[in-house]
Amino acid sequence: MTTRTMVVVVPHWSLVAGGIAPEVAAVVVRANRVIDVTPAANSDGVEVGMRRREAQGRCPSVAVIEHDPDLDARRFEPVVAALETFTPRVELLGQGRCSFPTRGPSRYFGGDEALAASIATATDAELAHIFDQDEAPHQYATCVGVADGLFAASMAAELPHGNSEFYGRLRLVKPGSSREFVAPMSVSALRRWSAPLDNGEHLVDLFWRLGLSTLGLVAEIPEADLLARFGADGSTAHRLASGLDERPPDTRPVPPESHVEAELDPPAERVDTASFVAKMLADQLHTRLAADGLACTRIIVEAVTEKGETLSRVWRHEGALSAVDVADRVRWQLDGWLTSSRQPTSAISHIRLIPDEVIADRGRQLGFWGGQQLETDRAARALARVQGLLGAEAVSVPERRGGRNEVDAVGTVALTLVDLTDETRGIDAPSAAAPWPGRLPAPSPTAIHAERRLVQVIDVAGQRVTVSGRGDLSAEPEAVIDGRHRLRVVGWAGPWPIDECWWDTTRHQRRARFQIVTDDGAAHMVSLLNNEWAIDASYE
Amino acid sequence: MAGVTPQLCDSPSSSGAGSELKGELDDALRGLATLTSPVTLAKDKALPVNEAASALLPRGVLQRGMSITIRGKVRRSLALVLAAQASSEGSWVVFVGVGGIGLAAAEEFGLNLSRVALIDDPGDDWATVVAALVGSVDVIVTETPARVRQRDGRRLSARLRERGSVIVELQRNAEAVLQGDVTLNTDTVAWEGLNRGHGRLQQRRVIVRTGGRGAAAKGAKVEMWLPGNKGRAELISSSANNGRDGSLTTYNTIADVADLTARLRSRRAVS
Repeated sequence: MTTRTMVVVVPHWSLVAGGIAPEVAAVVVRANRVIDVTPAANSDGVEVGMRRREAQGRCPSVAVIEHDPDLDARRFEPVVAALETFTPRVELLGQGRCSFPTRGPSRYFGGDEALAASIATATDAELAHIFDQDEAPHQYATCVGVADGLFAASMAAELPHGNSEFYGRLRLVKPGSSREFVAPMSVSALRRWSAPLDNGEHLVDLFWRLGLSTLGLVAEIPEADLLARFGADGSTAHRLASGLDERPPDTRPVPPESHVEAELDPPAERVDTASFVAKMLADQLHTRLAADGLACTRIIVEAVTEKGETLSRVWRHEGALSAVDVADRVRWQLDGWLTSSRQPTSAISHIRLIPDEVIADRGRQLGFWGGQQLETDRAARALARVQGLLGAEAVSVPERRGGRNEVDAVGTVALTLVDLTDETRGIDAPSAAAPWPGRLPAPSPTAIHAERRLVQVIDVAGQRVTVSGRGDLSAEPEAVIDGRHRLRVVGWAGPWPIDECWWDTTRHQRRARFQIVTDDGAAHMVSLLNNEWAIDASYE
Repeated sequence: MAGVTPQLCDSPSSSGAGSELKGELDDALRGLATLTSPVTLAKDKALPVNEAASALLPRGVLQRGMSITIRGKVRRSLALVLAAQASSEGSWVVFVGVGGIGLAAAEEFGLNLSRVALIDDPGDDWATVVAALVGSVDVIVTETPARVRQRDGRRLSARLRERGSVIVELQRNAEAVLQGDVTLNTDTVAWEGLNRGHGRLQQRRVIVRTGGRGAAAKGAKVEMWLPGNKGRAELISSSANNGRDGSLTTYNTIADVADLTARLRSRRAVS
């Protein structure tokens, strides 16, 4: 049995939240990738998934906006408040998306269609408010989908109508026909709309290669066979492809007394004070549920002010909500409430988190680095703060490039170009895998001088040591003169010549490298380039 | 609080007492030990280190909240050795103002480069930048900045103890900003593998003299290969200085112990 569900989606929500009109060429980027694009920029050929540079190349006038999940959530609050006048059971799915079961409200408002139409009108009015116009831009008009089950309803809401580039406004799937509705869809829909799949990317890819191109074909295979071949993911995929809810409806009863709450004394007037408490509560709830072997998929966040005003929201997640997820949601909700037009008249004095739906915690396998993801998130936030202080280019991360010189074997790239939270992030540039004959073996120098430190290398007679075109030394090096210091050479080896980029007149360089240990115990990589001796790097 | 050794030294009041008194004393001490035992042990709040680095540190671990000052010629290599094990077990290591650190060398010493970030030039905001990282990043390696106020250093040390990161400061010529809990003075003894005209750098013998505050105060002289012929650091020998040992507190009389026990018990009851 599946619940008849209505999904309400505001397309291009991150652009709407930023108040960007569709005629403006703009993109929203996260970790250097375009995640949303206005119709104007889209007509110039900018697409979702491009790199920032690529997008700017296609459309030089494009405005680049950094993704701000806090802003997205804050601006969505009035929209949810408008929907709450129709039904009390609005569940927030994510930025610009929410859903609710239609059984009650649709009887009251005269059927699914009438309900969908009045909801779309109410939401559009809120959007018009954001843009300060009488009407919301038609490209951003609200989409509503009604179907049995969340998966089918999401698809009904978000699929484009025919070949038109605009989203469909209302799409109703008849009761009991969700399976027929999803059957002709491509299997890649699984990737887009179902977080419960642990490894959706891989599964969809596999289905494609096996010739299962539509959901209908997947649904035809017996569930037991899919389970046997693909594990739990296969079984979930079968449920979704058959138009059912992602989980069988036998969710466990929520253990009594599992909610957590905290009194704020003194009451919090600012979001950050309240969200600090929320973080603590979220951790507490998470540990309590984990002790029972449960994970939360839907949570009610309630905030009460000193004067008794209450704001309660239901947050839903297709997978399971982690402690950080919950804390984020509380912050978003409070942020939205305190900045909206219906803001409370007094400070927040009470926060309560109530798990509304729990599932048995299957223990999501989070790749090789597993539980360390939390630490990475924390580090990424701190580094972002430093970027705010010093400028975006100030922070960099290593990238393995390979090369004959230790000096360029591992370089750095600006942090803005990588997504630290991506678990599969590698640090190898394509050139790292190539063989680099002529590389000196380990140990590598620990200090690399950005500018070559010019020195003199002399022989026993006080003459400058030179290297011939064939790599012959004029004499044994006896001393290195570094500024005013004269350091006796106690050990040396070389020359190891390299002749790089001989095909390119500007980058061509011939260099003779040496390792030299001086009598003060220091070891250096010294090289002769363009007839100048210099220290390239030191072993400190 | 320092641990109490169950065996007391000879004291006037216990020397003439019989086994009855000794039993009473043991009971009192046992009670004291349970009352004073910390809820979280110090070793749980520590970052892992490899064998060579553990010889340099008091209790052999990188205690969270600790600051370490490294002086001398081999400071960069030593900093990498200290951070290596923690990094390979998932901690983040951030280099602040350590220009041109050899990342290839860092990897050879065992750091996981996918959990490393660099802030090459913090400029005048050094203290703010480091403070922002403390608590979010496990290990921060930094070089003494050219201009910094001592006040910032003290504030940073306090924040460090509260938030539980570890700062490794590479001291240049100036005075160290953070008066490190542990100070390591490094000195190169000799490189091996390189002769006059042939061979290549292979391994370096290094002497580190440790010192510092608290448990580190007694100091030690550690000799190690840095790097050894396998690229990592290898311990050669370690000898502790024979000196005073401040970590043991000696109680003289049963009365002292009983008094202390009663005080602690009442404090527990109140809280």
